[in-house]
Amino acid sequence: MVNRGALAGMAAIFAVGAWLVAAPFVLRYQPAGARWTGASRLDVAVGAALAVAGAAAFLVAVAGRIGELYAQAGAGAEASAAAE
Amino acid sequence: MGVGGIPGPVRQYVAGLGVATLGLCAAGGLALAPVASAYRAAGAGRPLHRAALADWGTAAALGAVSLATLLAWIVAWRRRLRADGILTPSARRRAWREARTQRRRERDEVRAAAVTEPAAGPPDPARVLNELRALLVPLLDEAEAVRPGPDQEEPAHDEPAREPAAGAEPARCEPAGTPSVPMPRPGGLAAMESMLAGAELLMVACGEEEAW
Repeated sequence: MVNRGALAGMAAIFAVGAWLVAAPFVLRYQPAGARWTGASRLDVAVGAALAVAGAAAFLVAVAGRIGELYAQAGAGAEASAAAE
Repeated sequence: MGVGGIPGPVRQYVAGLGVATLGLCAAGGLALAPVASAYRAAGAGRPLHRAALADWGTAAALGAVSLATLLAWIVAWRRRLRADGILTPSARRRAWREARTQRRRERDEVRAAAVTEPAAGPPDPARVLNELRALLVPLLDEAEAVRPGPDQEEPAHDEPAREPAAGAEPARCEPAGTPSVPMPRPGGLAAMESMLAGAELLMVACGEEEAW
């Protein structure tokens, strides 16, 4: 029942979180070796939270989808056994 | 019962909706952070800070992605609830579906009728008679061609049917003693014309009856 759009959305949220973690170093508004600025701390914290949540939700959705497929396969096998 | 009191089949939908909502909140926070934390510009009249640009761009993208994900999870969950019979369609939606099904059925019937009968409406009697004449004229010509000459003796139609030869299979399955129906004489042009006139009269009468 879970469509691909929903799963892709979870993956996109994970990607955005990873980008936020990397952004201070990629865009160089956090100098290396210097004390972290407020913007860097905020971006890394929000990005980490988003990445963890997105990855967890993606895995939960995939696990649920696999569970549904197993349930459908079991129901189909029972129906065929009953027909025989 | 699943983790945290959430049933197993529902857990994925709750997780998806929760993370999509979290993404929306994070997008709002990221949009406000440069203003709230005062790192929007390094100084008055100076260009925007790179962190502010990154946050605003990321917030816009995250907001759009989160909104789309939220809608996708809502649609998926509603579909699952309908499949399980928990969520029933409303009467208005059911009526709309039935009306749509009825419209499709009628359209298919009209299409099928158009394929089988290209000319819609009642048949034109004159056209039908013309087609009938076109069918009968070759038969009349053939009958004229096989008509015996004046010197040949025409077979008597009043004589009884001949008995089939012994052992031969009868041509028609008729009970014994049944008088045979005489075959129409070849070249019965007058009879054919009479049939056509009768058919024409019948069709005209039907047309008048329909007009009444």
